[in-house]
Amino acid sequence: MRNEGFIEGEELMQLVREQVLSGQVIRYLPFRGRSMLPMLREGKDSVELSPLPEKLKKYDLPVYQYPSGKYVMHRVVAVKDDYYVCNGDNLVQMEKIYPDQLVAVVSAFTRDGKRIEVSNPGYRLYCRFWCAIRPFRHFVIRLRSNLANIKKG
Amino acid sequence: MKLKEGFILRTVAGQTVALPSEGVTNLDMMITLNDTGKFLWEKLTVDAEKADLVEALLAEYDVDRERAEKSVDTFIARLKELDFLA
Repeated sequence: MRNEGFIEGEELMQLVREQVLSGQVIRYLPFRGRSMLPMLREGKDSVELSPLPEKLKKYDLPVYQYPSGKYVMHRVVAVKDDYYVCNGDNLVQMEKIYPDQLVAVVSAFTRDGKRIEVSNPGYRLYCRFWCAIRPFRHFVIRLRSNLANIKKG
Repeated sequence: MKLKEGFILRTVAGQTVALPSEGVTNLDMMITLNDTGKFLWEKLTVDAEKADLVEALLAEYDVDRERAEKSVDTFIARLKELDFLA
């Protein structure tokens, strides 16, 4: 009777949203999609979500909602006065996100079953590196994918 | 027999879910409850014995004693397995 996939997607996010708004930490939400590769892999990694701070910082990973209702989680790459610029680690396009779209922020994640807090120095280094190479990232992504294909082939 | 403190019941997309919710909401511990499950859950928010639960089921639902006892046993076993009982 545990949650074995029958509450998921938007419905699960609705529950998560209510819980976070009432001050709860959510542990652990399975990550879905490819937008946060190489950090988060669908079916393998999950995140811990916490209530939002007053102001997000660069490299924070907020969950936010598009006007369509869809929830996504991408990284803050720039903090502006009245909005944030966000970008998925595996994406090229930038998004302008306003505070009223924000739902929660990632405080830790699990990778291969190991819990990693967002304050972890190795993770901070990854954030800085991955954001610094953003202009060239699509080459790295293509290279990784080519290498993977070579391995498979 | 009684449930531990700190659980909440929420209705999500027409389904009732119970989850521990004391500072940390652990989604791995989330269980969905059907009508009977929700009924028994509510009875267990205060102290109740197996016999009380069976009687409550018999009074509320059109079910024979054998099935009611089986339902209660299954439900209690599940709660014990999840360590939800005080």
